[in-house]
Amino acid sequence: MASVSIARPRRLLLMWPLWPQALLLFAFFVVPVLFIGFASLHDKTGVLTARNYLSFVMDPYNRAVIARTLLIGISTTALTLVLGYPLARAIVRGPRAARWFLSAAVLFPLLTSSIIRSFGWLVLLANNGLLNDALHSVGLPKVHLIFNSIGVTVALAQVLLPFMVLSLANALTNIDPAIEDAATTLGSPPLRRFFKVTLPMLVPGILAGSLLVFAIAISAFVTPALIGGPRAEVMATMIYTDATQVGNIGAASAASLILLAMTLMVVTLYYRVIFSESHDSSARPV
Amino acid sequence: MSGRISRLVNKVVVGTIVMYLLAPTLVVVLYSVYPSAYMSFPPHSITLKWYRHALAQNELFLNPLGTSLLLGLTSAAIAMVIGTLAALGLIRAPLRHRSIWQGAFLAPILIPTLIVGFGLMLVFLRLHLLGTWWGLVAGHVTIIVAYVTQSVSASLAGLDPSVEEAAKTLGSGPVRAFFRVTLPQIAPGIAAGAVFAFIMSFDELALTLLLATPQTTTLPVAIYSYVQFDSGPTVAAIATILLVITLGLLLLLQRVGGLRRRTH
Repeated sequence: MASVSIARPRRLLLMWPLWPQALLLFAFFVVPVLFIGFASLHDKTGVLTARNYLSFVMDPYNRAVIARTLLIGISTTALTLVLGYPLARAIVRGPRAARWFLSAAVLFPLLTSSIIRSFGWLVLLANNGLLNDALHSVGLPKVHLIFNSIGVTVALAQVLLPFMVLSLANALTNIDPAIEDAATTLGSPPLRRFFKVTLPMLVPGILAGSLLVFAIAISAFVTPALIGGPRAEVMATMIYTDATQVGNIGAASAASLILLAMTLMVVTLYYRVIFSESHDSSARPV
Repeated sequence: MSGRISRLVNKVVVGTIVMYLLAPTLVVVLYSVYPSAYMSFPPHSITLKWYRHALAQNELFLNPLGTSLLLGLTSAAIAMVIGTLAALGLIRAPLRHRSIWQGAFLAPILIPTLIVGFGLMLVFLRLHLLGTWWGLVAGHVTIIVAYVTQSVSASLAGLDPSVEEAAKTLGSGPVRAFFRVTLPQIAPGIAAGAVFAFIMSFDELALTLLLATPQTTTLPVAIYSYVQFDSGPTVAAIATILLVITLGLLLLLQRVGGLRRRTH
């Protein structure tokens, strides 16, 4: 490449359009993360300590928060998988007229503000909300769906469903319907056909969608803050609470870096999956 | 026969999932025109009184809306310039490890904004900049700039650089060639990126909560604090207005034609 042969000072000069954003990201992104790292290793009086990390893993309340965060991440992923598959199938294989409408419906939650959506879920799921009204009017007992993990999962799965549907639809378009038809012709019942023929071919799509949904779910703030509240704290809401209290900056810093590491790990895996998949599906040059 | 039943079951399942996707937003719109604060079916009449009520609320609605618009426009304008330049560099500059540069420049999209906001809070505390307007703008530009970079990069990647070269060969200076040849072609990508960046700033809560003061309360922050003690229909009216603004901008985005390009 010609770029390699250009001398270093001249190359740096030719790179000038990159400087403003590089400077911006360094000053307002890299430096802040370094500040978090520094704060996580110091106590209130400024003495070097590892206690913020130790207490984060040892404290039973914090451990419950980590467990709840992971549980919400896993159950949200599972819910989007179960709801996403029929939708992805309808979009890829269904009648042409329905496709446009379904695609628009899937993208709709992504396009509405997170605070509006969460507010809508509050109106629907609150203890005196619409759902409980409807249950009450037919004589059923009330269900508690806010200020706990269930409500957070239901609301998070709604906004993250588009990511799952797009991944699954992508994988489904790569499957030739004739293969499924062949299984049916050979006498395979629908459930068996799904598990033996369709599912194995869907694995890369399922993996990509799940990793993406999980990464966003464990770091979400608005939905757990409004629907989970202080009684169902997750890592993000706990970081916010600690960050706004003077004595807990160290704890918030340690939790931030742990959450950041978790998110980056899942995102890296996600890129591995979509990268290796695009390699497999493209025609390889000999 | 069983084929017809399974098709019907499939329709009911897909219909229910679509309802689940639309329900929370539709409920907000419905709630905003409901005559009483207590919702029950069926509605006996509809009203616009909550909108009148919302428009009379300076503290809850009008001032924060002004702040949000100003913050979004300022941040999106700055992000537009910085992001467009970066995209030009990422696509055109002689880079050794182009994909690493691209990854680093687009990474902020994947980082939780809460963590960026918390880190900035610590930095601004040290520099005595916490609660300043430009500190808040800096935070917003940082989390939205990558959307512009991504959108413009996509536009640029589809361009043939030889057209600009041809303009230079025909005697245009590099600056003139850029403004007369390249810029008009990537303008839709720039506009789409800027509109999307504005929407992300307009919707941001976590970072703003950590960096804002009572004087710089944005609309999401105002709604968030209000909902803590009252989730009445006035909030629903405000949320509906917010929804109309966002959807209007998205329609604009689609007319500009950038949405389709970015999804590829």
